[in-house]
Amino acid sequence: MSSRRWAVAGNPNVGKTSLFNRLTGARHRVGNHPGVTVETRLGRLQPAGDVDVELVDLPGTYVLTPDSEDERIAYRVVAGRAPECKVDGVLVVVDATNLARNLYFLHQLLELSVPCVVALNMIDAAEQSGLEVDACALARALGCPVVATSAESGRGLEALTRLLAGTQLSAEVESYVGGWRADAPKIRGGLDVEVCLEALATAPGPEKSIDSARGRWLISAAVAGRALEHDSTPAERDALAQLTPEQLQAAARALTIARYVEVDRVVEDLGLVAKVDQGPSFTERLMARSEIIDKVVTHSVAGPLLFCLVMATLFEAMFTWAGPLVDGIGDGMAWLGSGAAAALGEGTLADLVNEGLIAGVGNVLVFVPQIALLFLFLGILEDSGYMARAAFLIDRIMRRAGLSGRSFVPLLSGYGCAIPALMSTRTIPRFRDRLVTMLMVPFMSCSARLPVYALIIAAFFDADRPVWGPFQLGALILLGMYLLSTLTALLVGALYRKVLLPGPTPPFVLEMPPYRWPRPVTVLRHAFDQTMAFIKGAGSIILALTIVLWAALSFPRVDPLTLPAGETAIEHSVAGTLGKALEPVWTPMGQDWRMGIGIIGSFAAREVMVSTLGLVYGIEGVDEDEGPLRDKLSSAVDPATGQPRHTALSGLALMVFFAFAAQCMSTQAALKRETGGWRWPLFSFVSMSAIAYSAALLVFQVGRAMGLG
Amino acid sequence: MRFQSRRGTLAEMGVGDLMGVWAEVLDIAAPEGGVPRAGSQGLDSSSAAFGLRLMEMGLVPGTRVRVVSRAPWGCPLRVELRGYHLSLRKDEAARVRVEWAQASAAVGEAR
Repeated sequence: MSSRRWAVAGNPNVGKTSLFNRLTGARHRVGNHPGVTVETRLGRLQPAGDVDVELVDLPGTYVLTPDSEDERIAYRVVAGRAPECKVDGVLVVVDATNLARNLYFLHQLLELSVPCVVALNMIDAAEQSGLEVDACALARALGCPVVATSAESGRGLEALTRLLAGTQLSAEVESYVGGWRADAPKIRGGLDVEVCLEALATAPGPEKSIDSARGRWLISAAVAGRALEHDSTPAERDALAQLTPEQLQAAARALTIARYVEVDRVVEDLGLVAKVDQGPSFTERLMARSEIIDKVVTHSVAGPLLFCLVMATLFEAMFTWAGPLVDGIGDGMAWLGSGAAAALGEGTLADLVNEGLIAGVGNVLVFVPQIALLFLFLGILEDSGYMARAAFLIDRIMRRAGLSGRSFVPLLSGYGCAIPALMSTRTIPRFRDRLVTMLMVPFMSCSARLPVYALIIAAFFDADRPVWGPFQLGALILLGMYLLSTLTALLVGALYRKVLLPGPTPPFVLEMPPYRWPRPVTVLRHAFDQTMAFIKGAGSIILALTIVLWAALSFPRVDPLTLPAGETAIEHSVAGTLGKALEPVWTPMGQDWRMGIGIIGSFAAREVMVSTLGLVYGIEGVDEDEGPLRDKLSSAVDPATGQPRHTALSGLALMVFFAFAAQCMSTQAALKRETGGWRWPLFSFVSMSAIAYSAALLVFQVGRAMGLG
Repeated sequence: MRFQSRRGTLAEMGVGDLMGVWAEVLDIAAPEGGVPRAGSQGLDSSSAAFGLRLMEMGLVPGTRVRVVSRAPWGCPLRVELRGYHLSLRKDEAARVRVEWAQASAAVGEAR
């Protein structure tokens, strides 16, 4: 059985993902390419016929002179420069409602002589708005097959499937499709371009001479930014060095203009150019509804208000709606634990399985509902087109921090889990801006901090006391913590920008797509993929560390009966001894060695703090909703002074510590993957620990001096 | 009624009664302070690389463009060109030199 592989490329917002989902059905997996920090989606064409056809979904890209990591990956694969992902051709998804810009991208591909098949997507939307695009005429003009498709209705999918599989096309399907043309369209740029191409072609060097297709790409890449560093050979760079920047820029401009001249000619030949005085243009009709909605969404006053409402709903979803699912998982793990205890009896092995393995898996699974819900919500916002408007609104604030509105979505994702958030920074073009955003992400209070906040608030504050109308103290403190972490993230980002990684503010050029109803399959798939990214990226590390922690808390073993009253077995373990030894560190921020053990434990996974504290206070099988731990914490008294060991102030200091401390080893691992080394994760860890400690210290000491605790 | 051809930048087109008026792109202005070395700056809004990116997104000479709306407090702008909407900051839009026709009522002038 023969096999083929097609890359699926195209501009963002053209429905590429929907088309990919329709073509591959339920079967897709996320692949990892060695040496490239990207997971691309791979799928098999359905229905599977005689030929095994694999599709590789590439990130959306506007041009082939890549600037961001995403675009670079797409370029490498389509240009055949990614040996780990060789493709036989490219399925280019083009938006029928937005042909001109899409055709520019297509022309760049055709210049590279890559076999292309074009899916003229969103054809239904085009026809509804009165635009008739003749797929056959387009195919003749371009010289490659064009199939009119609509991912929504399924139109054209059968023809496309057959084309990709290379099987015979039936007569009625033939009518959709033009024929292949062997030669690539010749884009002439005029003298400027010819001069440069000539210089490149005749450059001395051991390699084969640079042909005109490669030469054109090199010229554009030389001007367009950092593409050259990664995607060219030293010999090519030497050849380029013969030309002055002015020459290269003139040539790159000439090429771009020439491509658009060609695109305009094709569009005009198809009869798609609207006459000026014939009423509203096609685009105006398409965008009419969106413009009305945007009068509210991007309004001076209503815009930000709506934004706050959307954010509030997001948080409500994460905290409240996820609740029953989280409880359900907790109960499930407990049931599993008791089953294992019954089967394995007493002893070290039973404890390893129960408190190491099952607890470890539980620590990972318990976050899946919140993370999945967050990404579901974000997916809906993105798919509907609202996210572009939100980035538009928030750009002003991000500029103060030296970033652009593009950093907004990754930071927002950080409220769920830092790992997928770090991955989504790949759309940020320059590495410096990307790095600053990645360093800001761990400051956004992720869902793992929530159980700790909840426990501390319940134990040390009168959480249910109404403070202002319907608002309770507990809820307000929680909100305060989230605001604090967000503000700190922005301040830290601004600081890093000015001091550590200076550079010009990144530009903000973003397409505003028309609003559309979010597509359920796309949104669900996206949430699924992001959640899996969390499980894969964090799962094994959290599990491993939970087991290590269990060992540190359990050994050396001490018979509880031999201990004096008031002492627990845990005090004599490795972790316990460490916690006690580090008491001089904990005391200035208002904590004692018991909390210290909890803090040590939380480096495995933040939520482990709760169960560790339970062990320290001699309570079995605790979870933060149970009274016993809360009561023990609030009523703990220091025998020497008779004063309560923990107060509201020390609780606050502890929360502040948790808000800023870099305790998630999985995040550090993800940071290492994304930045390609240990330097930045180490910096992140050290700087965040320093900030966490100083802040907690400040809160406690200043509060004490003010007589608050 | 005479129509005069006026020139300016895309940023100016977002002000007052110029909003929504169709203009034609003349050129992307060179960055201030001379020409930076190609490939050294990446995408910041004053560089040659950014100028090229603007062109690659469709703002080549001869393109019809208009400002659709502004965000609160002055920037970014939202423009329509080549069948889609793009948002740009004011300083980025200021690099796009455009020409448009402005009606000027010249009393007593015959045409």
